[in-house]
Amino acid sequence: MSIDSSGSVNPKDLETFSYDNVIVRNFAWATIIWGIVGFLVGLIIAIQMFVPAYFPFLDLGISYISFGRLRPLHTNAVIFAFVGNAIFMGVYYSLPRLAKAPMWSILLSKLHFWGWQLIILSAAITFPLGLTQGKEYAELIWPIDVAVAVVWVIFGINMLMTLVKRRERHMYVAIWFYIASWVTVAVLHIVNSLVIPYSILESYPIYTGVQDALVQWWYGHNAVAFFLTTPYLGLMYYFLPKAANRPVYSYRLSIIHFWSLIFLYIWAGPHHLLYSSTPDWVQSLGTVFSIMLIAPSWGGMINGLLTLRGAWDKVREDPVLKFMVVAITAYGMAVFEGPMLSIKSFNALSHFTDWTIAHVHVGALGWNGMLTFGILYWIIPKMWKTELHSKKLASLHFWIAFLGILIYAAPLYWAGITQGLMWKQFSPDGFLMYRNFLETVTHLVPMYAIRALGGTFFLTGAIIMLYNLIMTMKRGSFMAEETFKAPAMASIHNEKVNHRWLEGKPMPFLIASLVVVLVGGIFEIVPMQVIKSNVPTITSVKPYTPLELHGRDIYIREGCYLCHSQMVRPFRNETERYGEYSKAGEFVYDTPFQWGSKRTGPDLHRIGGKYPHAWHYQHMYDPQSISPGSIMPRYPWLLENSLDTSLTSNKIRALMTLNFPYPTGYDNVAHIDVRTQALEIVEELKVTGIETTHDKEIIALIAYLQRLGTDIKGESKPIFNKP
Amino acid sequence: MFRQIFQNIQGIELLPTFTLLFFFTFFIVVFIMAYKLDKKFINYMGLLPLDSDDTLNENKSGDENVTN
Repeated sequence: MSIDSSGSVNPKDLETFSYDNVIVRNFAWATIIWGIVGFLVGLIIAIQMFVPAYFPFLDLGISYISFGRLRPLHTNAVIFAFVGNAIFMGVYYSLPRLAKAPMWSILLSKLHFWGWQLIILSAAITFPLGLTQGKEYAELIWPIDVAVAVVWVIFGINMLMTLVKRRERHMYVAIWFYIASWVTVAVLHIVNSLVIPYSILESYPIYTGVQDALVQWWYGHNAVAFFLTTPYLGLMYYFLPKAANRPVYSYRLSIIHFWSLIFLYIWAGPHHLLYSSTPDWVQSLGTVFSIMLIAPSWGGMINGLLTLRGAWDKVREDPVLKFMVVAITAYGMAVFEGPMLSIKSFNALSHFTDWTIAHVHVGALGWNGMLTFGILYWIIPKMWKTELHSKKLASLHFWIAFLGILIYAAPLYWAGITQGLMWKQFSPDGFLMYRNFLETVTHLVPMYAIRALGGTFFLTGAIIMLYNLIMTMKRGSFMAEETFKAPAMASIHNEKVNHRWLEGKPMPFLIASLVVVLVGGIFEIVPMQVIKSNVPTITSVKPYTPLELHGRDIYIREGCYLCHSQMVRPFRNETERYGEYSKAGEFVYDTPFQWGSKRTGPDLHRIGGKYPHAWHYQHMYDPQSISPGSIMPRYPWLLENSLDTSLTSNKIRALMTLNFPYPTGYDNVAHIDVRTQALEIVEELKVTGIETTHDKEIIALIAYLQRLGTDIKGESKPIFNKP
Repeated sequence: MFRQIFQNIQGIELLPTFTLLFFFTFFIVVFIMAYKLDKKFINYMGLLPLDSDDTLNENKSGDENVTN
């Protein structure tokens, strides 16, 4: 390659190559379609929250569309389908342009696209069927988890090989975020998805109780960090300068932002477990690192907003920038609120309430939603070589989405704070002011109705965008390929090993990112897995009986953990309301753990023995008949469905491999105990005038609920049939 | 195997504290590295997205996209 004295390259040394816009278009379509589906399912479950109170006749008692099954569909659709496809759209557009090289393999791009869509489709089928692993945001069953890992590796190979073949020596900051996100998500997904399958679709996690909780929230928190945040920061660092036509405010700040953020984020998971049965040192660690996170997070936000210095007049005119400014502001708000909620005294009030839901949606609707919309309004006219069909409609979308977020979040903040205070309120005589949990729920129902209105606004905005983008596409002509010229990358010898060197080396960069994120993961999780003193043993705690195990799997299938916690925190108001606070040693046979993160209904850890079997039977059939005003859905199918006991032996065998102390050979005779225990419950129901048979699902569920939290009292000891 | 190794380390619970110190050192190193980068390079990197997708038709010679 010859370079003249002015630094220009001789034109004959330029190589010609093309960018593939087809894959970007496909991912753009996917994010739009799945986004609308995700918002719609969100709206449906938001409506389900107040239907039992206002329109009970609309609760049709259909299992496939019950709240507990649709809620994972909503969260997974928004996180992995809407946001996931938007990440890939942005990466497949920006990475080749920043690397000055086409994506390494069009075949891998296509496999990535169709593989990911098939995964989403499988999720959309399996969740309504009740096939779930029962861990929030990690609900996908193990065969789909395997597919996710394969597709993720395909994406990674394509991305890294593109970087290997690049023409631009230095990797721009957006690419660092892509690399770190890829490698961290791979680690998180694999570690949290380690399971022992007991059938072709079902499995138990290899972790139990406290360890499972810690791994899950290490994953859950970092799914937010490395799926919803860091890739989007990469997109921000590319698309914001493009849209504003000016470079990022401070490239130096972006370096500090990147490394500090990925280092600190990985530690913050335990802030989801404050006041739980996890050891204090883990909780403190989560709090400290969460507060430290404010610095790099705000560094990124400031870097984004200051990129617009001198261009704020453009923000008034350009809908793309409007969306982006609100997105970055929402990011700044959410990453300030997150650390605040990690302070124990805040968390004591906010945790398990709608405050968390409001917080999450400021991030999801504001940061992810608005940035995605901004990018779509920029990228579609660009690829179709035309102007946006209607700036007015885009502005309308902006305002309707912005208002939607406000109308969504404000009532939920109100609801969260109200309920948190009501739970803690004592009368002057020292009794709980609102002893009946339901009293604290009925107060919130109007808030839930207003929230659904906010969701409707947001969904309407997305539909307006769909129309606007289709009209834009009709107006222009799609450029399937864009041709470009650049010189080959010249090799440089004897370069000093510093950050500039690192920015030119994808593999060392990937390894450096991996090391940085693993430091946090290892030192947080490994001691929890190996130090026995972290989980003091309670001798009276025994494994579940096979019937209780079946009941527990029904509890997981119906997504009960999405509205009910199983974690009595050590507060006076909680021990007054529920009973003895939860101990780490009580959960050693819980896999997956079912502590939950939200109390739309009361905590269930001490529900065992609190009510007679007949209460549960009637309550599951029609909660309103037992608790007037309850917003719990009906579960009539549990009274009709026969319990599938064909996998009893497999389940017991799977748990025995995890060293659950069932007698040797118990897997072969466990079915006898299923029947014996079920008949006892049926007999007791008969006394109260309820006629049913021992093979119904409701019997197993009652067995499980009646066992919950009772071991510590030492009253009931399961007797396992000797083989 | 790893379980035994970790169990035999005395005071393993203190490791997170060491990691905090590690982060502090790491942060200082990153800060110094970022500070020491020369201004010309910083400007060049900041401009990367802006000259990255001019197509052949719009970009007559391609020279504008080439920097040493």
